[in-house]
Amino acid sequence: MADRYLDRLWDMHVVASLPGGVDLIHVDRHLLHDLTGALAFSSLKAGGRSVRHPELTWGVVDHLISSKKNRAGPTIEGGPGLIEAFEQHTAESGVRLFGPTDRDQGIVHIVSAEQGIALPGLSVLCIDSHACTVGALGALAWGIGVSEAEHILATQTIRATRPKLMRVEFNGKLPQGVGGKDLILALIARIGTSGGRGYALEYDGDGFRALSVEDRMTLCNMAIEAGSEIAIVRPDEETFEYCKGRAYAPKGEDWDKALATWRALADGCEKTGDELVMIDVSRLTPQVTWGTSPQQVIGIADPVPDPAGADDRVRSQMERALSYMGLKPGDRLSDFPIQHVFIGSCTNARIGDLRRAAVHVKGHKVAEGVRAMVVPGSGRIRRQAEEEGLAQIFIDAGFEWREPGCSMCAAVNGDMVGVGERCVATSNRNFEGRQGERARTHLASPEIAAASAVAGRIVDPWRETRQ
Amino acid sequence: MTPFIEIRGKAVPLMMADIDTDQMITREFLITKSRKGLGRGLFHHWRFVDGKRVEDFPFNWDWAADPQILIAGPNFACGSSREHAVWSVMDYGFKAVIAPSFGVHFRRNAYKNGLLPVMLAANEVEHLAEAVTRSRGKQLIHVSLPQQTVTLDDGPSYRFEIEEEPKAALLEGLDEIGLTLRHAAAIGAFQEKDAPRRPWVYLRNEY
Repeated sequence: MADRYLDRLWDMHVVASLPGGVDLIHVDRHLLHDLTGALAFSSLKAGGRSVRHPELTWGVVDHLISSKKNRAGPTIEGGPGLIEAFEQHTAESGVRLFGPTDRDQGIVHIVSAEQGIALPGLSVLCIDSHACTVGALGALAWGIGVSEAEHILATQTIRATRPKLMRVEFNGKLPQGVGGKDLILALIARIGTSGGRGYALEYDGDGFRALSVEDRMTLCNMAIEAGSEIAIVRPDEETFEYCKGRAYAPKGEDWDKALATWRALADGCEKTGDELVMIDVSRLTPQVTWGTSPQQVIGIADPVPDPAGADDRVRSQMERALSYMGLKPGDRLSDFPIQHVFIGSCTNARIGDLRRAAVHVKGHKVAEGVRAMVVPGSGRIRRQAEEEGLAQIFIDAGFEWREPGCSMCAAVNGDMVGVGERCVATSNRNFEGRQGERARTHLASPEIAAASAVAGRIVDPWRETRQ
Repeated sequence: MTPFIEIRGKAVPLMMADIDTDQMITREFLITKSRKGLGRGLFHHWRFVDGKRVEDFPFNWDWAADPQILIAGPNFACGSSREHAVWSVMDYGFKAVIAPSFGVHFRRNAYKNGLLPVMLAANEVEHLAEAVTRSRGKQLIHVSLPQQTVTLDDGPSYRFEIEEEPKAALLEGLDEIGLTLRHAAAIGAFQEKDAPRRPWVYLRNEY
């Protein structure tokens, strides 16, 4: 029996082994959000059942909520009604809700980490495909649908099959301006959007360990864009430091005991996988998507690729993406004016992201013809950014400084890119229409997004000094 | 859940690779308190542009009305875990989807709702799509879950694999929550044993 971190984590949560290789897994933490949460509760009630463990369940309002000042509407038809229903269901069931007026409200995957709801060694299930984000803390985390959420509400368990493990090692020294977002885009470019299917991704390597815990979350966040539901990271001292003192983290003696347990859990694991992917980060440049799939990625200074020569299926997909994005093979992304910059989402809206972005904004103005916004990942991040003076830097440069939520990433709260317009976004999906009708999305890091807002086109702020 | 045993019906192909669930059901149909009636939203912005039917979109082909089986390209329904994608496919009338591979969330969500996702080799899926298109839908496809086969009226029969547990659940239309609650004692025992080892997991409301 393999003894990798994934195995240890998995085995400790098995309540029962069912026929067909399915395990009944204990859910330590269950999170729901406003887009589908009400549906899960109403299905549960329709079945005559109730919430088994409200104290292990949390609700967060993030998808449908206005990001405008004072949450001013309008947002999206039916949105306010869904939020209201979610508020009622959580209140009736005794579930703690981070609602519209809660000062610690934010994006569910950011809130769960900063509140200490997600911790090393816990199983954390959330009704959202980016639930894998908190795998960065050493949690066993994945996303579920409404039916599975209903199952968890009723039983505090989930039926699941242990995935295979793909070990991904990022080695080498990170070049200037290259971070978590670039590493994950490079990985998706390498293995494709279905490369991780059937696997959990375990990240490691000195290039990875050099990242902050927040930046590791960025890497885990987009595992689903590589086809994998689960990303995990063996926790280290930096992880424990991150978790210490958080609202739901253990305190006092419990903390000491937890720490000892977590250290033992991470110590001496087999560092192997059913697949191994090695990425040398020392040669990476900032990565940007050119197309409509997260695998359509290039280095920021590289030409847009030519579909000629690709096999039929890939070629037709690339041709469709080129046409949608208004690009031709050989084009440079820096030659195209942009109309939007969106800094936000569960991928890149943490304090570190905002600090790194602000560096490229300070003392500059957003280019004419560009609408730029920052949507902090949570109320805590928003307040911290205001205290540190980051908010003022963005505001002085002409950015809109918004209230926390999913905003223009999910684009179901009224925040959208205009028809056919080009947007540099720090979010995770560049699908057709994701950010609005015919919206052209380029995914990039917060640094690139910020510098691009000032330049009015996609730029690498380190281009002069880069080898 | 309605059981799935077998079906013989008209199929329609949609062979693009990597179709994501954002394409299947767009934002205006996503905001709903009900699982019902989502069929009209399925691929709505591909079926209609500026209020007009897109005649060359497969669902709008003159022979393609009321299909029961969807033949799709690789990595079908990747992306967001929105279960609306499954509900809309089912409400449109599909009982099974045949593809070389599926997005992970879609496949699991399909099982939970009684929609059968069938995985076949890419060349087999392509053969089915071609045969159906060439015959303008006259060649029906028979999908049998007990036999684990997909059979074209005129032609080959392909075997597919499916895990034991979803197969049993689909065949009997089982309520998984009810099944799991039979393990209620085991869940309680797990928690009781686990709590002294990991007290920080078991929060109390006043924590």
